[in-house]
Amino acid sequence: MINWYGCWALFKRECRRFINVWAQTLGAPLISAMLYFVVFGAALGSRIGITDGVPYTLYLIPGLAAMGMIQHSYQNTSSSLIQMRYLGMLDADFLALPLTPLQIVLAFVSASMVRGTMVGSVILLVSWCFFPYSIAHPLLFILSSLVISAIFGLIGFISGMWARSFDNISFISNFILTPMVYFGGVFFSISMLPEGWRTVAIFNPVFYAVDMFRYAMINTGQSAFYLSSSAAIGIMAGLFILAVWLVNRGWRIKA
Amino acid sequence: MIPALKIVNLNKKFANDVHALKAVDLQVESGEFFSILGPNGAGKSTLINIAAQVVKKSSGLVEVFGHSIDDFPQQAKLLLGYTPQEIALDSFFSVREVLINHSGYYGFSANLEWIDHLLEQLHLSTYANRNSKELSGGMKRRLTIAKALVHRPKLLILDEPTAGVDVSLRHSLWKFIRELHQSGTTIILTTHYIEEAQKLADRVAIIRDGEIIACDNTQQLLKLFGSRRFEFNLSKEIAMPDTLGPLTFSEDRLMVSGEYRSESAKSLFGWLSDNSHLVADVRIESEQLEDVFLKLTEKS
Repeated sequence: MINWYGCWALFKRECRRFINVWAQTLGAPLISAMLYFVVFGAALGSRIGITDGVPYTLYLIPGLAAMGMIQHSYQNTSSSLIQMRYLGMLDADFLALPLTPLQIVLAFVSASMVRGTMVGSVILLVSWCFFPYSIAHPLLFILSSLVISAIFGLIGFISGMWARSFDNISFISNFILTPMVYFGGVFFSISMLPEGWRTVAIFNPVFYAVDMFRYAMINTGQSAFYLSSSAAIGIMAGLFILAVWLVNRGWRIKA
Repeated sequence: MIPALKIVNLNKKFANDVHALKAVDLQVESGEFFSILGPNGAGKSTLINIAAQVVKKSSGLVEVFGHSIDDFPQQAKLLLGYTPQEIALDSFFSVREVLINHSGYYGFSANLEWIDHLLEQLHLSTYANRNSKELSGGMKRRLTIAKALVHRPKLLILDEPTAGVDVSLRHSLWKFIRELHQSGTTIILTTHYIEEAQKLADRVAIIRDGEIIACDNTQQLLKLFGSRRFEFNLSKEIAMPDTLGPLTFSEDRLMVSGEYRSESAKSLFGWLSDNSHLVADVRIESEQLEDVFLKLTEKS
């Protein structure tokens, strides 16, 4: 007997948690995206001109959407788990639940995917108002949005299990995730980086996620789509297996 | 009949090398009201947290209604309701939403009638639409109990449910827990209030340093480890011979006390009667579970 309704209920709880504070979880990224778009797109776009064969403003849009998805899917799982730890809810509302480790990871990560794709959609919608565009590969676009949100939802989940305090979560966000985002081709093509940094960027999973998404959206990318999508899907699968294994072991959450 | 909780040779050693449970064997029968008593750090919470699967065991067997927590962890969890010692509530939701969410985790899609019943029984109906963080400590405690009952568990584990609550609330919770037990729910209660265990439980286990040092029904424990004392108030000071045995005298020597049913008591009764001494007042006191508890948990 597998309790799939329980998994659904946990997913719903995770979604309602961020919808209840929508101004913070959906409104804030909307404002940030508008600011980025105005500053980078409008002010710098005309100076930079064409990037990877498309106008810089158009090049920027998938990067901004991907960045929003990355940050918010990460925040959803990591903040949920650290809040649970902080409120003392890990025992009765996580460990004692009659759900398998797979169901727990699935519920948390699916909710982070919902938040990630909602934030991405809001950013894309606002961007469209400034700079109308069309989606090059709609199906790949949807799939790559889900893969990006899943990867960073899983990273957030594992970070949330590891973290003992909100500081730990901020540490990962500020010192690991943000540099990865900035060197992952969100705002510029990595071909614009010096040789050494370009090599570093090749080992950055954010680069593949953003590149895959950009190709699906505006049909341009720096690596072959099969390479970026395989890398992204491989990373997602690996992280998922790791997260399930860690929950099963009760890593850092079960004495 | 399958026991509600079966624990065989359970050991728990924490990472800091603390051996919290040492080869614990315990069986709680279905329908029983069972209480676990022990001083702070004795291993009570560790024991029930392992049964609730929120703490890992080092070795041993734990079964909930025949479902091993190793082989059928989800089935075991479905049969068990658990209230942790610390109050922990989801501050994003209202009281009713907290219960609806928790009910959903256990697979119940439509459970509103039972949720409303619990809210009423635990005097929370008025606060059903309030955010859980706005509740007082006592209300939060009651909501924690409602959460544990939302899936109608066959076994309810309460870890110090009345700790820090006022007297009237404690009595109302006792009434509620007793009714729950009468309706067929097996209850395991850890408590610091020995009076609570004596009033509610059919059987009591006393745990010390990770070992169960006594486990029996309350009356049997009192019989085995308790004693009765007598107290005579004398009308005047009387010089008694030393041969009467170990007796305790008050400073003014107008009160003499000793263990009831002891040789010294028999000798004293006989001597007083033979010498026609008048006794102004007689009191015989039975030891309470608290005395037994102190006697057993006192380290030699």
